[in-house]
Amino acid sequence: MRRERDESDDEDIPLHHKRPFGAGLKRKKIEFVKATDADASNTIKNLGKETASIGDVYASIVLGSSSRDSSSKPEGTSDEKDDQKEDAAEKEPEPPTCPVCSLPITTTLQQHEASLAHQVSLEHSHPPSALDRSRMGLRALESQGWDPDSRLGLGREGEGSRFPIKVARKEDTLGIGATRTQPKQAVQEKPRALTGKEMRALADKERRKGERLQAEIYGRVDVEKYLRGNGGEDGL
Amino acid sequence: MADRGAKRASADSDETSNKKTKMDGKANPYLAHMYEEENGWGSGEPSPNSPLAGMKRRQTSAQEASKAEDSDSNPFTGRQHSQKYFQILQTRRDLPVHKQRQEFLDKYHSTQILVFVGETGSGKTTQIPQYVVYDELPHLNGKLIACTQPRRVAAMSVAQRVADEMDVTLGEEVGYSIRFEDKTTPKTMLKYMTDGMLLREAMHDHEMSRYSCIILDEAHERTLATDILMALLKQIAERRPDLKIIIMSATLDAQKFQKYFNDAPLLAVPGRTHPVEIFYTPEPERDYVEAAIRTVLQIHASEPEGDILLFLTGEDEIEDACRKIGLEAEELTREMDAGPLAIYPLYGTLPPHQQQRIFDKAPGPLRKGGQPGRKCIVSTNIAETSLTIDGIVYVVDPGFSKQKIYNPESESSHSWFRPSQRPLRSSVLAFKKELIEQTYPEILRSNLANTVLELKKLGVEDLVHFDLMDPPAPETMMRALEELNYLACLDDDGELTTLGGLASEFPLDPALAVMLISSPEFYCSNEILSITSLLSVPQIFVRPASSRKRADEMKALFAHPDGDHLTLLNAYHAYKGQETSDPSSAKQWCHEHFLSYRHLSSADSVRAQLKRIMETHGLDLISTPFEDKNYYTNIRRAMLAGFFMQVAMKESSGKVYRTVKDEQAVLIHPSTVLRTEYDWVLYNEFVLTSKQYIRTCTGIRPEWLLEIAPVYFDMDTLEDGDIKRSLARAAEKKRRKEAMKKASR
Repeated sequence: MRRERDESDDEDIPLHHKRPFGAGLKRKKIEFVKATDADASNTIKNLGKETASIGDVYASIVLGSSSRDSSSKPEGTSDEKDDQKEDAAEKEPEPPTCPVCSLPITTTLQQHEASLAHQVSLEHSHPPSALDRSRMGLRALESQGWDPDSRLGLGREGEGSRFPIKVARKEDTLGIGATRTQPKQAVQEKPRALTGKEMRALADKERRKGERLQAEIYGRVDVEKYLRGNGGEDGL
Repeated sequence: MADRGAKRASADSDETSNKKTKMDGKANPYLAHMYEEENGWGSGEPSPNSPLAGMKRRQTSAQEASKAEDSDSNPFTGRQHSQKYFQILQTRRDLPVHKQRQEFLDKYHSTQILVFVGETGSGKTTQIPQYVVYDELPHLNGKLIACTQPRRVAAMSVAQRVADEMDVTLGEEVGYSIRFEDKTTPKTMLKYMTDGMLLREAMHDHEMSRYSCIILDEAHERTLATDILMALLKQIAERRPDLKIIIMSATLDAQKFQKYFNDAPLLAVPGRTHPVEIFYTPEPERDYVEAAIRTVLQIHASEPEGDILLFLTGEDEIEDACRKIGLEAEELTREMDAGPLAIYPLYGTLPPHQQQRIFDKAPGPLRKGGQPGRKCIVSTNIAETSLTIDGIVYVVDPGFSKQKIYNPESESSHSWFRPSQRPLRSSVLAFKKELIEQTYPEILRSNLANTVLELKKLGVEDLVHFDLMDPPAPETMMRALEELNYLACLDDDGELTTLGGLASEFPLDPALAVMLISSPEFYCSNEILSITSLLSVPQIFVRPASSRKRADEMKALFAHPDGDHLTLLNAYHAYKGQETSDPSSAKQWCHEHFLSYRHLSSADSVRAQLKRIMETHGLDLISTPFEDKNYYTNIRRAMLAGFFMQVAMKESSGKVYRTVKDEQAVLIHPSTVLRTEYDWVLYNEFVLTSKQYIRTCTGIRPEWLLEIAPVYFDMDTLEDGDIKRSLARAAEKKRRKEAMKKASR
């Protein structure tokens, strides 16, 4: 059935073109999700609701929540429909867990994938190293098999430190474990000197100064209006 | 000597064919002289008359060795043992390490690599190599035992001590080898040497085939050379199963060494023959200097007899503390009837005769029956491991020391760091329980240009996977490669060039070596040779705190308006003049002129050694005639050939200069004699004290940079800015001048 569908997809050109998720990247993603057990019940659930009309199924493919539908096909064969209904009923109280963030998937898969928890636990791809690639030293190390983007140091297994030692100069005579106390006192005194009134006055002054500056710099009426509007909102 | 070594190596290169060669050799009367040693001993076994009779190499026991030591005649020289020998033998047997001699031998026999941990005072540095000698019987197979030391002084003094203990003449059976001195003979079987020296030897003998056992002492200090030796030996050990390696360390982080050497067995010997009590301050101290001074005075006022050692960080701090302690101690004597307190500073730049004073006896009581006097030594961490001062009972340690740290982004700098816990010799009053191990191995805080050059010469092709205990940061390694590339010691692919190979023959920084090698092109190799030697020793100008003004006046006598390097050269020439005309008064002359006789004469011996190397490699020694107006100009230009990366340009605002390499704002160090206002200067070092300074500077012309280092100062790749503008102006000026010359012709 799946094969049929795929073929029909390929042949039915206008429909195929209308698919909003036609990019290769998205298609791959779908397959990945399908490969896990987790979303089986999810799709089954959908299918269960939608069995009433094949037209609805079709519409759902065309109109959007697409990704799951195409993946659901192999499991959602009509022969197993009854079993799956039971399965779905059993599984519903216990939502499947996501293999990436190991949290239960309570919403739709798309929503889940967009959630912060899922995004955070996705494997992070690091940006390439900022080293200047034209450096002779880098080329020499690369020719010996060091990869600047590997986030490894030198050594037999790349166990060396990745960055040179940071130097901190000591210019006082504080003993080990001692902390400077005087600056702290100074910091404490300053806020005491300002009363609430003074603070407000100061803030007011700052604001007026800012406004004047803005007026000078952005003399244009439209810009000023725009900026002041923003400021008002912030204030509220 | 090298000749002899090679002979030995060839005779013993292969264990199995060894005997055969020997037999053949002995059968041949023309080769008999080669086998003098062996002839008496038969086939590699001690003769039956020798005290070593019956002992088999690498199968001996402590009992056998003790018996041999007790015999009347020396098993290695054949001479009678002296009276003194037996006296020393007695004290040797009281050392903690002696009790475990058999255990040591068992472990030594069972493994190729052994990690040995013994605290200061256990006797490991002097005894273990001797135990190995009595086990390896090196006089029978002609292979040496090496014991490395991080410091020259230690290598020399320990060798002397061990020669006494073994009742042999220093330089014969027991010798030493340090950078500018080789005190060994073909007879030598136990060789103390600096770790750097062994590394240099390895450059020409990648297998270290002269040695049957290599002992790396003080491995916990993690010097650059020791770290590299460890990595090399780890490789060599796989190729040479007959080579034994002992790693000796004083601290208990030995697991790290064990793990590094594929879980090598460990032998630990308790140190300290005297119990040590350690005290910490319960609360952090606000001012460690003041607290240290107070502690010293408290000890002096209320603790029983015994001298005090106080660790501080630097010259100024130490002198200041000495003064304060002195004043307070006087008051204690007056008011509380405390005994007299003699105070001695100790730091690297202190003249040697003043350093010697720390060995003076503590003063006696002021009057009969009064409180005994004591001495207090206030020292930098040089007294940490390399010195043993008798009589010290109290050690006060605030836990700080100065460390030199190289930062590839902004050159090297002096810095303060928390040290490791010091090997403590006596009872201690330290400040807080927070002493965290925070010293880094030297390899992580050094410029690696020299090391990379050495590694290339040692045949290490793969710098990335070279199995160091603590591999350096990639950035540091890249900087080193690039520096060597600019110096043309490495080609663009990182391979050693001819110049690089030549430069590695000199025990110098690559920049100095390149400067020396290219100096004949500038017709001043003699002068550059002198300057190089002078830069390789500590500062020759003495400036004691008590007579700074007089010292400055004397220095002004030698001053050259164009720079400090030329001033050094002038002083050296004056010294040589004095020395040749009246050698006996040279020392006095130096003293009068505030020059360090010690450093000048060591510069002299450095020069002699470098000269030998130059001659071996066919580098001409030439000079521009002194009358020639280009005499000094040639020297200044020649220096640029090595130091073109260490130049700074004056900012338009005035006094401040900016270095080209790292664009650091710097001042010229106040010690400079540079009087002429130069827009461009070359400097020898970058120092970070309260301000950023460049020290030992000489003025240069920007057009020379374009001429001498066109790759480094490439107008096409230079970033726009003052530097580029200045260079462009210089180039333009030069072009016009040349055009005018042409036109006038």
